[in-house]
Amino acid sequence: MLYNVTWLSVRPLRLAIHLGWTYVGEMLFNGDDDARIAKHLGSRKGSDPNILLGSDRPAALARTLLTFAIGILIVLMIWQVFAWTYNDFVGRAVLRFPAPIETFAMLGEFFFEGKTLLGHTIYEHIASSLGRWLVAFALATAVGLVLGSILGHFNSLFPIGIVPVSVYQMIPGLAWLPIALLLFGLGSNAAVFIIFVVSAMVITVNVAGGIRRVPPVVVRAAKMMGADDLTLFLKVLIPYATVDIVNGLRLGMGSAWRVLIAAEMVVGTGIGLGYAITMTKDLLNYVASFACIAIICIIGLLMDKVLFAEIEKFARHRLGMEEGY
Amino acid sequence: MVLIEVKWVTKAYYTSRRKDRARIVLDNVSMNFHDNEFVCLIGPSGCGKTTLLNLIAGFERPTVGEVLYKGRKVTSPSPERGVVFQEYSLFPWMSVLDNVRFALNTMDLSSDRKDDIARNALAMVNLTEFADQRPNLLSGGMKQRVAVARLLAMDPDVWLMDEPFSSLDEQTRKKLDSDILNIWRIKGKTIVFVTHNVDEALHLATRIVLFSESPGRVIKEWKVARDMPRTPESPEMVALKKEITDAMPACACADVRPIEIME
Repeated sequence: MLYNVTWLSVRPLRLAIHLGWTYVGEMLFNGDDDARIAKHLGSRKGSDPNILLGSDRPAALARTLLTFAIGILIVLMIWQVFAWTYNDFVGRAVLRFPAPIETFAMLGEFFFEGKTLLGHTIYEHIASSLGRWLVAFALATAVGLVLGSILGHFNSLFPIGIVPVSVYQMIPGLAWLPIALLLFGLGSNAAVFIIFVVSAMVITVNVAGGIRRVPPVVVRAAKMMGADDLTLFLKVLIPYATVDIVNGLRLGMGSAWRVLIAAEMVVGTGIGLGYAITMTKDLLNYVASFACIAIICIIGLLMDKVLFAEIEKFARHRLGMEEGY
Repeated sequence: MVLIEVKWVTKAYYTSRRKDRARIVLDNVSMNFHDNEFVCLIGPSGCGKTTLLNLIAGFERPTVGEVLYKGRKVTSPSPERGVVFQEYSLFPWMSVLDNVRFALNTMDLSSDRKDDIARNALAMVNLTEFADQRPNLLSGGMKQRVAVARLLAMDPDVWLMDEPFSSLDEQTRKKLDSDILNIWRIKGKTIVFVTHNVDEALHLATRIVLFSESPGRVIKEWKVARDMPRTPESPEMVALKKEITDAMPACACADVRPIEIME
């Protein structure tokens, strides 16, 4: 039934699906841990139950990359099918829907041939966006850590303090625009302000929550051993909440990155990836818009899946909080 | 010498979110704990044994009545009264040695001296080779031994132990019970030990206090002579065990309907 669809009967595709089902699926989702360990059973020494298996890292890395590649492939496929359908069947369209290939060709020109966009190289646009993000995120981290710690530590303050934080958190990023314009006028600072408020609230909530989730028995143990309030806070609550704190920073980073692009689109920063998207859209250069969107996704993914995932792993390791294996 | 006085203590907790109901957990309990006693509190679960321990430790305050330690009212936890908790309470980011060293954080000692004390304490519970490990690599029994080592280093006058070994297997529990008994004999401190296991109480205690089912009241107490043979088969032990078991309140679940098996 499925194979009646014409383009699915193309041979290589059928083969790929077949292979995907049997080999990749097995390898990715079931793994073959027992087979791997069974191969090494012969190497046991005497009655020692411990077996040396050698590093799993290359295989683990391959699995991660393959999973990721399949996911990306799905995105590209949906995109490609959508572009084909739009360009070939929606006849009234004057504008073409940029396909992945055109977009990546444009990216190549931006990155390797020094092609400029709105008078700046792509590197300048990226640097400008990242710079704004870094300033706002650093400020938000400082404020979020202090405010979150205070709210999390003092039980009597939390119910009062969480009200304004929740109120501010409910305001969508771009709704801060009037306030940002009143305070800073048009330009980069208004964008920085919007990013700052949005991510600071996310970080505050998570830091406070992390500290409040420290199990009572751990706090009691510290108090029983005579820890005063400051020792309890610095040596017990903060370390215990570190994974939650890192997670809060990760969420804050993500929302900061998303709102950054949106803010750049509306406050007229003159440079930056978000600004480039609106301007190219107005100039009907949709391929360039798509290229900028792709860059935003790649940078966001790198920060979230590589940088922060590693930081979180490191924190778990340092804190002895790895889940069992 | 009387070390801890529990005077007319009643403790009640809210039992609903709307705070329109409360339940009495400890009902007008008065008792004294003396120097160098090993007291076992036994009774059915939910009878307030742990609550009494928390009140003595200073984690909570009585609803009515007071707890005195050396004649002074207990208002907050203090390193004079060490606690071994039922749950694991180690700090997972610190090595075993640092966990034990934390117990010395209020003491004005040189770093080397603290190290010596902590290592000594670990040696007493046979964990010397695990000093640099993280708690997440230890078994349940070893974690509780670290908790015991913490108190050995801190050297409190009173040891409050809340079913410390109840989550461990039978052999490990018995071994740790014997270790605690040895520590008590050497150090001569006061130990208040909560358990629901009559055999464990008979093995350890110089005094056994039996609580009623909730709300907790003291039903009866027995002195156990220090020189009484502590083998479970000895006639004195068998007789005492029967006496205690007979005095124990009927299971609170007796009035619950029996399980019906659906065909």
